[in-house]
Amino acid sequence: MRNFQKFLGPFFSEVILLGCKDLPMDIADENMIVGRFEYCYDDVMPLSIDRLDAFPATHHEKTKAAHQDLVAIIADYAIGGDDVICYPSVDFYALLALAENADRLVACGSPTIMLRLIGVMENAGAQIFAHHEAVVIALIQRLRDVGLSLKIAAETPRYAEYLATSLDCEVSVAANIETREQVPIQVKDRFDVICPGSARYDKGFLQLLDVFTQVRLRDPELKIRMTTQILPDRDLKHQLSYLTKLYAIPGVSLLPSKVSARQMMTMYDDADLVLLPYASDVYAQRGSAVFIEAICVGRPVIAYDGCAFVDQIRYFGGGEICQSAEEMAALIIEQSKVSPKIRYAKARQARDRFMRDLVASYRDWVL
Amino acid sequence: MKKILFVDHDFHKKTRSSDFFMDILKKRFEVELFYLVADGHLDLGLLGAAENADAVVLWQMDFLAPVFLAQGKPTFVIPMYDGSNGMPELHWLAARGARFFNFSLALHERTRMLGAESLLLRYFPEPVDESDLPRFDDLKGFFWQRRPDHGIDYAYVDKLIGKELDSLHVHKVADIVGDFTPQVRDDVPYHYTSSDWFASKAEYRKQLDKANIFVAPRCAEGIGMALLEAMARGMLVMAHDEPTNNEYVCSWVNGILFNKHLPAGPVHIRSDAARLGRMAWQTVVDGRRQWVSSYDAILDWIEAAPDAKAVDVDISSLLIDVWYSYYASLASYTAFLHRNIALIAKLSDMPLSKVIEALRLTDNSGFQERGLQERLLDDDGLLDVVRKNDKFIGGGWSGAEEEWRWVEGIAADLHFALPVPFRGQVKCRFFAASLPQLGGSLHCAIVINDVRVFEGELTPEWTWRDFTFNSNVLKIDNDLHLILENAAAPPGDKRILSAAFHSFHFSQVE
Repeated sequence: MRNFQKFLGPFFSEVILLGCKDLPMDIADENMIVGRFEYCYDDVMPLSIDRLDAFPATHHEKTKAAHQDLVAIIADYAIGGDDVICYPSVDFYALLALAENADRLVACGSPTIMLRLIGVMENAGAQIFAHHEAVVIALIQRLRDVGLSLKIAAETPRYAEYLATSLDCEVSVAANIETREQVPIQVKDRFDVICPGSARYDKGFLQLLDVFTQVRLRDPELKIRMTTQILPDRDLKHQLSYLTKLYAIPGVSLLPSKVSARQMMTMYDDADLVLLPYASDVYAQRGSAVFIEAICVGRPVIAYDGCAFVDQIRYFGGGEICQSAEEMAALIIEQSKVSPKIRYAKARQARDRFMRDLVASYRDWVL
Repeated sequence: MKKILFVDHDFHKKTRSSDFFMDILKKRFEVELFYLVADGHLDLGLLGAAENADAVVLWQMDFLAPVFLAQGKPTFVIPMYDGSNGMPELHWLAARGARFFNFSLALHERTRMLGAESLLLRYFPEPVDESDLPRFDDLKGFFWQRRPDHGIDYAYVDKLIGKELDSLHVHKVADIVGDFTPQVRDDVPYHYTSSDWFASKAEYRKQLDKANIFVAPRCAEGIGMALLEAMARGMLVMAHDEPTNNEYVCSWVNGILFNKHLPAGPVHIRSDAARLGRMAWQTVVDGRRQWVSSYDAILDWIEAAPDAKAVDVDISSLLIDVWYSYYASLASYTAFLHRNIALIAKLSDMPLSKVIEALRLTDNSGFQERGLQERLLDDDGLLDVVRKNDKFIGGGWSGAEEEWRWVEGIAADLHFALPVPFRGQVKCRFFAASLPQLGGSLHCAIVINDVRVFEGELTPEWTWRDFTFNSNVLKIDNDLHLILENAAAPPGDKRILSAAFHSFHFSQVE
């Protein structure tokens, strides 16, 4: 949120950050985020917190909660025609509430609506529909039909193109924002490969055994070290045999599914290479926050072809693309032989181009 | 200097297998040793010794943790996979207030997922110098036939690698009483030697020096000292695929894992032996460095432990009760845990209702209540898992859909009774498919009445699979246990699924 404020703030006289009511107080206070709306996704993405009153659970309850939140926000902040309501990654029920209250928005002066879609949150609740993508498009179309000024952005060029053709309008590309400076690549006698972020099935956790084993067979002197986070417990309990196999590979380190922000930074700092063996079907339209973090701190990535963010890897020169676990292993070996100086220079070039594009893309979205 | 009471089995006086850990503790703490005779007389002086200590460390004797927790002592438990993995959930909940040092990933995850604090440790011994690594011009095996009753015996090793060996030494001293003398054929292709006695550890090592292949003698280990020592020597190690063997050995990378439940070998090792042996040594070189660097974390963790929350209970009675219950039988120990659920709730700082939930994990009473007649196979031997009345369905299944039923997670049970007994060989044909998200194939095992009758791959395409087995596996009332390798959540579905099944059809092989 702070990153969005930083990027969008210069275009507005004031930016008020609104978050969900269950955001931990310390995070809300530190980032000056006002807790204003209900969290409607505890059933699919649990927050792991106990609440005396239950989270909205049914479609009806979620619809009602999102509607009430929007109506209250419009009233409490006296939203008018000069205002902009920006959704940095709009979720399904917020979008539904906007569409249902389209006339109300027009009546209060037609504020500009900025929607950024990342292919996740807008689909999270829409899964109950047979053609959920069509529902999302229909809801956005409803806002256009009443004449509201819409500024739409997508996280990846490929998703932007899909939205642009579906909605027959211009769609900006606004990648995830990351502002860390490039971190020097350490000169050391080992080569560290990491798979950061919450390990998940669709992020290729089940690919790692193949990749790591093949690397180990080709690097018996253990020069290459591999570190991954493991699945959250609800998935891990079904994968203990797989986990044991990963654990047994010499030179592999396992980290918990959740690590602190500080540990995550250290992981990038110590890394030479980042793996993104994401499922190309799940990520056909989606971006990768890990890729953005990697390109910002100056670490090359290796990803499977087919994911939407692969277009960005290719365009900015952020890393290598492969088709299989075997190829990924071969690329890791290849990368481990490139001098840190060359890797740093390449990463700097990729980062520089990416950052210029990122700043420009947010300006493009607002203006 | 803090004083630690180190409680251990008295037979470790001889094996010294806990010394390495005690030596680490002695770097920062005053350590008092208290040996207990397993299954023997209980020395109540233990309580006084604990009273005078700042913390208690239990080497293996995890079942005693509630006693010291109730005393309010910071308690550290070092369970071993081979001894404690079969313990019920309540056993772990009773020790949940302790801090665990786990040398097994499997136990680490189990205790961690129950909410206990666990530090995962990986022990590695000192590796030999590179110049002392063995050569692999000849393949020379060493096997200590310690637990032939578990299925890893001379005959198994002979089938596994006999054809590859130039020599094999068998140390014939079993851990159990009985005549397990290897029956060595006259025409074995290797030079066979054996021993019945080693006067000292040095003599054992001298024999080990003559070999370059080590077959781990036991199915499961607590740490696996013998296996690790062999790896440290750069030997090719072979072990049954179970913790902790499979937590140190990555098959065909730094050793070879076999499955003693499957027919033995032959495994061709000649071309890979040198590579695997060196990789085993390399694993230990690297692991040793990490193990030594973990000493401070171990000591800091002990230092930082808060006192346990003392519970108002007669400590002596509790100790006597748990000691004699534990050594009477597993059933007796389980009964002890059941009658102390309220105490376990207090010790584990969990609501009573949550502790009671642990009992549900093994509760199969709903099924047991059904009579045999209700789960009879049809006359044509059909076991239909999509049948709406769930007559065969045990744990692990999702609800029936039109054409199939998913296994939720990686295991599921079916129960069926036979209208007419089979004779000779029985054929089973089943129709199944794996979850597409799990890739092109999914390993599946089927166990009927504790006998593994099928092992194979399922594919995302619906396929008929056949297997045959001896009818003496079947009883009137039968348990069929399905084990799948992996499970995942399909897109848009909150369930964690592995494979779908339609039916099993049993028939007599004519």
